[in-house]
Amino acid sequence: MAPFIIGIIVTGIIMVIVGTIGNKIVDKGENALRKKEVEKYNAAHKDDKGERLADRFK
Amino acid sequence: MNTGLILGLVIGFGLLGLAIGIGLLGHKKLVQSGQIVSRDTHFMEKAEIFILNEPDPAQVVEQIKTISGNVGIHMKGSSVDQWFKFDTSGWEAKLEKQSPENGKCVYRFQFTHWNTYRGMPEGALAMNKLLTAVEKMFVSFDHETVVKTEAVNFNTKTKLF
Repeated sequence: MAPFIIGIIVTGIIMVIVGTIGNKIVDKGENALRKKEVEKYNAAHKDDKGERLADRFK
Repeated sequence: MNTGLILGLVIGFGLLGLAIGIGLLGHKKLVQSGQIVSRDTHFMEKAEIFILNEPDPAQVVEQIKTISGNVGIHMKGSSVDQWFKFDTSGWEAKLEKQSPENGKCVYRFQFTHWNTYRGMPEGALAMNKLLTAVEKMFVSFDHETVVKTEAVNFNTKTKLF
């Protein structure tokens, strides 16, 4: 019984460690990609004159 | 093929179609009643900058107070430097008065935080309602209000559980 419980605990710890590190890596990559996209969008729309807000409610 | 299986698939897809139809109908009704505007799914990722003739700051405060829904509203600043924060349990937004541009008054609205579920924003409908109410408010102040959008840089943080 003891090895079984130890196995469960070790698996749980490994899952938490891998999950935490994995999430951090994915978030970091996603944030870096988004930052580039945001810069690209804002540079492309820098000189936009905007739209008439009332037109959205026609 | 098993008749029961086919029947089950037909009923399953039928119910799925019905659910989608009801959802779309509800969305259409909200658009028609003017409570929301049809927007891009990720509209909350862009800030809106409103450029208009200077409204009475006290009137802005009064109009903001009338925004309904389960949204907490906090106000700070003066007539020169107005700042509003809107919050719920799942998202937050802010509206702030900025430096004038070519003699026009400038307000910037942006969502500052929101929770997602499987990549989709959880409170998108309520967020759309608030943004629509803010937009309508500016149109009521100045019918010639101009709106510009700006992509906002934000970070995601995935929770383990």
